[in-house]
Amino acid sequence: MTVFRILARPELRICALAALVCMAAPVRSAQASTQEPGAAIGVRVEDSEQHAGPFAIAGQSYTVVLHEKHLTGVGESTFAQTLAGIEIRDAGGTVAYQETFPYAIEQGRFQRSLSASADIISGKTGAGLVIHYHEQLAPQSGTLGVAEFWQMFGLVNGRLGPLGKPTPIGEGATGGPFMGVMMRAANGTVSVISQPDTIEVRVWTGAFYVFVPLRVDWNRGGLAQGQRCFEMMGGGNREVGCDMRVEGERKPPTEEFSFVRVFSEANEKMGEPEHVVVQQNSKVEILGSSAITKWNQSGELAQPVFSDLWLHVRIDNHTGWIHGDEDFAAVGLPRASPAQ
Amino acid sequence: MRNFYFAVAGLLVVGASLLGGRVVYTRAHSQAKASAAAPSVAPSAKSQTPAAGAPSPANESEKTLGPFPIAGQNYSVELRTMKVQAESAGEGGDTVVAMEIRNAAGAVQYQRTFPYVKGTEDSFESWSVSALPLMGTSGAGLLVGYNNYFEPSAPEEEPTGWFQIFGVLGGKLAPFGPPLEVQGGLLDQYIDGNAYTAARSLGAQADEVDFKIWAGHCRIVFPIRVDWNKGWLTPAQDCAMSAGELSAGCQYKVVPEPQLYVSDITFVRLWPSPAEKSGAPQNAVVKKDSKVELETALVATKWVEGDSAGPANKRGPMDDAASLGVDSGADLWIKVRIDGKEGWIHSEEDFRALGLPEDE
Repeated sequence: MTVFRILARPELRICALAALVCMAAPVRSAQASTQEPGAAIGVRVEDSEQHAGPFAIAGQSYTVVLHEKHLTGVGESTFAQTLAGIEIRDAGGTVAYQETFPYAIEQGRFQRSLSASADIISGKTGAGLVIHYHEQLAPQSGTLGVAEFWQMFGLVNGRLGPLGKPTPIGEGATGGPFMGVMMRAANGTVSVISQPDTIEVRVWTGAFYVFVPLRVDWNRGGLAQGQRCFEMMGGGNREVGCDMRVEGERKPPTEEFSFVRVFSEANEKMGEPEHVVVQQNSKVEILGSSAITKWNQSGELAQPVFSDLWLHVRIDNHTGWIHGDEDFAAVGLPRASPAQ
Repeated sequence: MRNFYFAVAGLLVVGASLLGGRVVYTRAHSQAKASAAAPSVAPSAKSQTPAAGAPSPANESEKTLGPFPIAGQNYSVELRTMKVQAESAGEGGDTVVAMEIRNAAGAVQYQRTFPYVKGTEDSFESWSVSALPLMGTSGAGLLVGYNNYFEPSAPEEEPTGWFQIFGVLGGKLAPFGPPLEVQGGLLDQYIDGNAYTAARSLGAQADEVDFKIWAGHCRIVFPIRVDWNKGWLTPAQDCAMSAGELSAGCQYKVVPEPQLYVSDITFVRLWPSPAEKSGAPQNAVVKKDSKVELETALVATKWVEGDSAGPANKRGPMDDAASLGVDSGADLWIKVRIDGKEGWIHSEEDFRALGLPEDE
């Protein structure tokens, strides 16, 4: 399975970032420096562009242009800039796709800070472009709102276009993605109806990253969830979490003891949990995760939403599943914003 | 192994099986331990009276418990027993088929019968009867225990038995109500030689007699008020539910457990009050050398009145019995102190973490 691994592997992330810096040095434009409503006196808005790429997809080259707004004369850096739009241009400079993002200024800062990064995503049978958006909302009630969005593009009929929101398995809409299915007939004949490709995106859950699989039909321009899990329950099916790979950077514990309830399965109703004390010298291993993943559509962007999120851990000689912010924090994975 | 069980049953006939001390895991074990604490009452073989349709007279014998001096008169408990396995030899393997309490003149004051079921090595049932003087501050009586043992049976933390208190009313020994069914037993601390003593006086006419009750994960002390003048028993504290909360009368002392958590390190969640809404629980570390004290239990209990008219023998020989115990489905809260940290625990996972006992 080919994976969107550049973001997954720190060393490649650094390379990718360096490449982006080299290839797409931001061009600060002085063409639009204006005083906008909501901006404090002395604070002006400047436009700038960043270019990412070029990215080679099916023999064609594309560049992603990020149009940003910057506030000048403000101390705080986070809410002093935001993404106002993107364009994807082919080698000839023709715009293949563009999108604008609204922004608002209040109290001398942007109400949300949107940023994006672009990269190639490739599978066994094709490749495309992925844009990862990171949104940070201005603090309200003392909490920072952080969200991630994704947008994937593929070359369909010779044209680059968005693949849309991943469709849930078993809920394909008319005209939606057409994923490959292997059919075995009674006489043993196997027919393959289209060949899907599987990719993974590395998504922040709030405390750690999980790798969410997706199926892509490069030829027809379809995107679907890579897995969906059910269990038999009272004669019917009930959706449950699927196992996913996990990546987490544990923070060393500051307390002498922290406490977790370790379940034998990723299900609170399956037996009583074991009470495990995590000590400063405890050996903690993160083995995997499980969650139900839904993809929401926000305009042209797709946002993964997790429910019933569990972490598979081994703490000293205790192995099992934990869940909840409190227990994630107890193993050194507190709720936080993803590193950018 | 089966012979061991028969031997235990035989001992119980002459012993006081109600003297249940700390009972661990199996009913057989509990009865063996109880018999070890029994008063020395010599059986006296008397005439053998065959029952209708019963095995040969060689399988029958009679035994006497007592005499027990109560209010200036002596009473004895006469037991007629039979071999659980008719062909077995020796003293072991007896089951009681009838009991009578007689005064010194031989007049029957009370009697009760028990069914005889011929047993095999793998499957048998036996009844045992025991008796102890009950010593209060404002009265005295007789505490009779009835136990039913059968194989095969599932192991239990506490066996179920029946207790019946007798006292002198109008110059005659009389039962203070029907037998009381209890999953638990007597408390070691009140066994004084060959007598069971009341816990405290409840005025000029009454005493508190405490029983041990199995509450699912601990043994609580259930106090019973014995009214010597009126000749009846009632719960000494009123346990009631009001607006979804248990009254203070539902708080009981907890019998200390000799062994709790024995592994390396764990934790339990301590709530400030016996309600999950009372606040966020605090985690308390429990190590194998931690000092753990079980202070109080809060749990709904129920007392079901029996039939004073005596047994109808339709649902067994004790179908007239009253019962006391923890209400089915009751939410047990236990106030604990762990290395000086105090709070309430109540869920299975915390009971298990603390190493509290549980039925298999």
